[in-house]
Amino acid sequence: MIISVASGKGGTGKTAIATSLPFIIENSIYVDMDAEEPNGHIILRPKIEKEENFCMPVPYIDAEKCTYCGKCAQNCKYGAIAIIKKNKKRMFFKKLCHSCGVCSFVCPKNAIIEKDEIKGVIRYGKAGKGFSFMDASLNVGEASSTRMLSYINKKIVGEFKEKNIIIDTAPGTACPVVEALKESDFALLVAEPTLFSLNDLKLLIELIEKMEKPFGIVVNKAEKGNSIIQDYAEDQSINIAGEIPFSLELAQHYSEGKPVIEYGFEDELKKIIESIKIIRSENERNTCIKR
Amino acid sequence: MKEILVLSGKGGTGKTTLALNLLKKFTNKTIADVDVDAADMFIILEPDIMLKEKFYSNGEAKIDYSLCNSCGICMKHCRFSAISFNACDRQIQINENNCEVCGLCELTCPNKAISIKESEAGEMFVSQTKEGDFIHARLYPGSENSGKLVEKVKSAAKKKAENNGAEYLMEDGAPGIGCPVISSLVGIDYVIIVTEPTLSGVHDLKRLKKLLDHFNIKYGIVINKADINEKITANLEVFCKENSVTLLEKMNYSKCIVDSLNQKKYAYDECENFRQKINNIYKKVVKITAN
Repeated sequence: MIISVASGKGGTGKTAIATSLPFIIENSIYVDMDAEEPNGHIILRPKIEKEENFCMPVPYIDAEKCTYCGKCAQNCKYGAIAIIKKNKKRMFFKKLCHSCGVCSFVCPKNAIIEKDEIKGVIRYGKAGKGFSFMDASLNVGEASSTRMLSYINKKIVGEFKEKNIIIDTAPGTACPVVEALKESDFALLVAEPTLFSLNDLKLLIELIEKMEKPFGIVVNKAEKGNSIIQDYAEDQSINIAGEIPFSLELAQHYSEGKPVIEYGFEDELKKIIESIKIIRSENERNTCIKR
Repeated sequence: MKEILVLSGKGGTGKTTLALNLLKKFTNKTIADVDVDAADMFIILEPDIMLKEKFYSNGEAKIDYSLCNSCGICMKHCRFSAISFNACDRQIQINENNCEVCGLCELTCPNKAISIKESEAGEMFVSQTKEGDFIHARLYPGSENSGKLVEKVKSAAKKKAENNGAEYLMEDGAPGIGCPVISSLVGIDYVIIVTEPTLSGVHDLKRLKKLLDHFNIKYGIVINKADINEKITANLEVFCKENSVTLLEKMNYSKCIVDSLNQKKYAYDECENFRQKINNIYKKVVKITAN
């Protein structure tokens, strides 16, 4: 089973919950796909066994062959190349390059060659009582983690397909989150009882419904008397997979980089797993009935 | 006119809360929300939308099956694993989730069967609010090119600010360090980094700092929820001293602030301690940006 832990709004507790789940799910691997700001390693303190540089091809223009025809710039969909023929000026905006290969394909003089450059690092290891760990870290200054995350997805459905996979996602609803949801069997959405979280949750649910993934909500930092998330879920017939109560002590514990499950709430976390199984099987039944 | 941006690295540290409440002090200003895939400022600002503008991204690649002969040349060239042969339907198909709309397939198809069509990816809003003119946007969930939409919002906000003779343009940023954050840095005079005294917060702060140093951008730090972990707060204060980084203010966690937001009120009006902190941050930022 592949569970992606997402939220929309940052800071609701994705990593807090995602890093506790591998302690109670057998044969699991925790995968940190928030490559811009990966935090899983801080909480899980893994023993790293392997590190892999993630590279992408970056175009280089051979000055001697280039005639400033501008075909590369005209065809680049990302505005990464600018050619001014009159002034014999050539500018390459590396940060905008998507390594698609169009420029080298269209160059009539074969003046563009591509060289691999390191964009980030992927690490593999073990954590806790021996569950597996993987994280991706985008080099600071690089614009996009999408290709690196796509590569990790290949590992998930290939090398790690026999494992239960817990994916920790980035905040927001853009490409890195889409990538982290692509292979999942279930999206666990972590919300907190605030207006901002509810707003971003709705945006994320729009995405998840578009991707046709079964999902459920965990209300983190839950408080009596504040049921804005639960009310919304009831109104939309969305399953609440669980609740973790608000606790300043837990916040302090977690601030030290310690897993939530070490503090407590094991019952609440186990209930989340049970709910995921129930929601998934209900979802499968409904899909069969539709057919 | 000075452009000020609020960032954090880690999500959930209090960017939007701070940006909103600073508006109470910066009187002659224009406001922009550049967290385009999870914009939240509008919830408190309650904007009167004066103008809506659609945002188009690269779009999608479409196959004209009357011209396609399934030669598969496009598949061989595609670097994003977005093209495959569907054995059931017996035709080449493009997976829009993987497609990055680079256009290489359009260029390589010998039958000119593929064309790239622009598609709607979001919307920008220019509004009036009680606090001033406000520009924000909504990137449709899952859409690409958030960086481009950030650029559009900033450009419209800058124009509005200049037309209004505003002294400040206050921008609420996105979490992370990727393309939407990098785009938001263009033209910025000062970044206010909101961090929290947790190991995750400090880790992400350091990555953001590296990004800002790389782009030579001036910044100061606000430690939010400082009392969650006094040891880490103290370490952050030392970090600021050792790196000659301005510590703008330290603020404690306060239920008053959370409750105010949930009631769509400004904590500046409701919470006395917080009000003093906002006043201090305002004075320092005005002084620093005046030079």
